[in-house]
Amino acid sequence: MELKERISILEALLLVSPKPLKINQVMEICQDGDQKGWEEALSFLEKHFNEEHNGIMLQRVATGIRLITKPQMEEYVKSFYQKNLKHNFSRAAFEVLAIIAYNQPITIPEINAIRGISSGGVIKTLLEKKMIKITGRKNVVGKPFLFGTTEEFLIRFGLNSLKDLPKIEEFNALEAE
Amino acid sequence: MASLEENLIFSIEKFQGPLDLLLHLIRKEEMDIFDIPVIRLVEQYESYLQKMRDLNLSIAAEYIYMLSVLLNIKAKMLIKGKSEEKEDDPRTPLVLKLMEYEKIKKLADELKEIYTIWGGTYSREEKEEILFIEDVNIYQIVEAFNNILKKLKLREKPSFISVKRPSIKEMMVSLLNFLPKNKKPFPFYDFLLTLKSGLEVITAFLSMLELIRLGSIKYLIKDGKDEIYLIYLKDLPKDLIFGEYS
Repeated sequence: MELKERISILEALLLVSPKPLKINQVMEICQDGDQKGWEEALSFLEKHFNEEHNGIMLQRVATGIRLITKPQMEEYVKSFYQKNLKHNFSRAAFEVLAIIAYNQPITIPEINAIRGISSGGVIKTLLEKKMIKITGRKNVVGKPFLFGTTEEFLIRFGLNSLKDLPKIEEFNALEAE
Repeated sequence: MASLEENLIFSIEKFQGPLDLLLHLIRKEEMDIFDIPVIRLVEQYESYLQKMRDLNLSIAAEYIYMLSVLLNIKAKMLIKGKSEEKEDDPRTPLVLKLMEYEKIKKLADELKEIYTIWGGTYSREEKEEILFIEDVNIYQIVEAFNNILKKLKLREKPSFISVKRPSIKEMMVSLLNFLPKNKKPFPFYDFLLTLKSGLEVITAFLSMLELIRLGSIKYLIKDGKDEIYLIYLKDLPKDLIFGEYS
C-alpha cells in the first residue's frame, strides 16, 4: 500500500471513530501489517494537523489516535453546545485520582490511610464519571474492592498510557533526605 | 482582628482532612518538617478545632483521631526527653505520612493542570444509539435494582399472600422464556411487572444473577437511567443439575 493511500484511510477512520483508533485495528481492516508504513502516514497527519490555523489536532491517547478540538478552542465548543461538558472535579477528587493512578490497584482503606480522611463519596463520583473502575478484590480480610483508572481517564487527561503521568521522582528525592 | 479570625475560620472548610490541616500549620508557622515542634503544633491544631467548635461546625472523627495521635506523640516525647537517635523518634510515622500526603497533593495539582488543558478538548461524540453501559460495576447494578424496587413499590397493591414459594429454578426458566430471542435488550422491569410478590421479585433478581453466571443472558444498564436490560444469549445447558438451587 502506498503512503498516500494509508494517509487517506487513516484520515477517514479518524473522522468516524468514536473511540481512540488503534493502529492494530486499522492494519487488520486493511490487511496491511506494515507498521513502519502506518507510522509514517501517522506522522504525516500529525504534522498536517499541527499548523497554527488548525482548530483540530491529532492526539495520541490511550494507545490510540483521535482527532480532537484544540484546547484553545474550548470556549467556542462550550458556547456551541451551550453547556459545560467538562466535569469540574473537586480537589478531593484529584487527590483520590492521583492516589489511584500512581498506586493502582488500590483499596478504599488504603486510599483513606494516605489521605487521612474517608473518601467514599469521591470514589462514587469518580466511578460515575468513569475515571476509575473496580479491577478486582484484594485477598485480605473482607475482600475489599481494588480500584484502577480507566481508558476514559487516559482520554480525559490526554495521556497515551500510565507511563505518561507526571513523574514522581523529584518528590522521591525529598524523601531520601 | 475579628475579620482576620473569620478568614481563618472560613479557611477551615477547604482542608481535605487532618493531614492537610497539619501541613498547612507546619508551612504557615514555618516549622521544620523533619524536626516538628510537637507542643506548638498541638496547640495550633487544638485552637483550630476549638474555632470549628465555636462555629458549631461538625468536626469529622478523623480530626479528633489526629488530635489523639498528636497528644500521644507529645506524651512520648516528654517521657523520652530529647533523644538524638532518629530511629525511635515518635514523630517519624506521622512525618512519613505527611510527606506522602504532600506528594499526593502535588501530583493532584499536576493532574488538575493537565485536566484543565485536555479536559476541554472534544472528539466526535459517541453515537446516540449507544445507550448502554456494558462495563458495569457493582454499585451501578445495585443502584439499578434499588430503583426498580422503588418503582415497583409504588404500584404494590394489597393482595393475597401466595402460599407457594417460588424456586430459583422455575424463575430462571420463566425469565429465559420471557426474553425475546432476537438478542435485543429487554427491560428487566417488564418481567418483574408480571410477578406477584416481593419474594418473587427477589427470586427473579437471584435467577437473573444465576443466568448471567451461566452465560445464558447478558445484562446492560441504560446510561443515566439506571435501568437493567437483559439480552438472551443461549438456552440453559442441558446437563445443568437443578439440585443446586432449591
